[in-house]
Amino acid sequence: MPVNMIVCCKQVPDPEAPPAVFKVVNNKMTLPPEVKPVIGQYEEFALEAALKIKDTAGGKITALSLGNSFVRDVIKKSLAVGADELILLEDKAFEDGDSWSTANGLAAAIKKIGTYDIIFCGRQSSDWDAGQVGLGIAETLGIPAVTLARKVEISDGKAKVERVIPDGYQVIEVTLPAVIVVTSGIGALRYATLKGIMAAAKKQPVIWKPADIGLEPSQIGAAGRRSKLDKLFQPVKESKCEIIEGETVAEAAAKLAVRLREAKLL
Amino acid sequence: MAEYKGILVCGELTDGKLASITTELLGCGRKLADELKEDLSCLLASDAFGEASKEAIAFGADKVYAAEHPALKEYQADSYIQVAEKLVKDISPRVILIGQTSMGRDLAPRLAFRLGTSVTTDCLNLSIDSATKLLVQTRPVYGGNAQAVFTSESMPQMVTVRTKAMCRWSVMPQGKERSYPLRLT
Repeated sequence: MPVNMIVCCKQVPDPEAPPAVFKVVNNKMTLPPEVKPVIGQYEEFALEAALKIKDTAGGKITALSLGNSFVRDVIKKSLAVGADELILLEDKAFEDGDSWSTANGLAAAIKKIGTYDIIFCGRQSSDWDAGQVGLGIAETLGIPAVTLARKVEISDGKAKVERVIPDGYQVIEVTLPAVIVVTSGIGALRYATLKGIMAAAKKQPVIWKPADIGLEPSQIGAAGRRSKLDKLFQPVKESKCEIIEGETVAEAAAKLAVRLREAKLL
Repeated sequence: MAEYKGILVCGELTDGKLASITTELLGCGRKLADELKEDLSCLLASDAFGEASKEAIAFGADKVYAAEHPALKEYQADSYIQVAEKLVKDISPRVILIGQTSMGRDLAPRLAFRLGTSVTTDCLNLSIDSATKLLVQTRPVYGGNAQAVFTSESMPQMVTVRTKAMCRWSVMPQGKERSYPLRLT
């Protein structure tokens, strides 16, 4: 059965950049120009999950992204690795949203796309790490969701998902359409082939503005938030060294245990 | 608009006993409730209860809502969310505390979107702003390279809390146990 898939991808500052370059200025994360944007690592896993299904069952993959000022070469990576179409919700009004307004915008775009069997999302973005948008889309659309998927197979019009739990995994069968939130176990995103890169260069993303998905600017981005960012800061990290002494090794060990317990480490 | 009052902890059980994250949430919830001079409630859902409700009281809850049903044996989003949604609508808590655990990560965003409110996940620190009475929520962002402080702009104010971020409570309890009538659809 060919499967219609939508993969939600987010453009984020490269999370692999050295910690020292992350600087907060006026409540905003400010990064030097040498830190390039990338597609978030969990969204790359989501893309790979969709590509694996396309390999076996066939189907169509639409990559969907919400934000502003997309770097075309970065976001078109989805096309280069094998997505068929790229839709960008690109407008200043989409900036600085929270999980609520982002899920709202993506869900409205998914409604406009209309036909879909699976919506793939990453388990959390690589910048705000909230881990909510996939579940938010499912709730907004009123469809089931399975989180922490490490393997997805399609059979008889349903998806069989291996869901990671602390002591192993569960196998969950879910009716479609559904949202599947993907984690790292799915495997790294494949490399783009030369042919894929050349084909992607010729394709242009479809751009939708808030009005195209039937939303007012007040419902999206910063204006549509339901949580307020009061402050963004970098805690001062300091390390201290404390030498625990004792007459005997046993006494020092006992004192160390007491000290660790005081520090709530034991 | 309903008046939102009190703190609700969505508890978790491990082998019929209160999970350690739940004792931590109760400790944190107790402090917040005392500061607001409001009640601390705890929701527990299971197929069969042992001593867990009494444990929740011992760890600081004023009230325990114990939802008992065979479908609640293990965490399953569809049944748990029905219980949580119904209780929240019945008691209108000001604050909902959930653990940043396998269950919490799955349940909290669903519940928040269903209730039409925000949730701040993976909080390390919570306090009450004395002027506004709002819950001040601190969590790491950018892979731990910064921290962000949030307040909710909608009610109830929901957060998930990282394990081991909060202390248990260890004073003698005053609360009473209540069973919670439950209908699953």
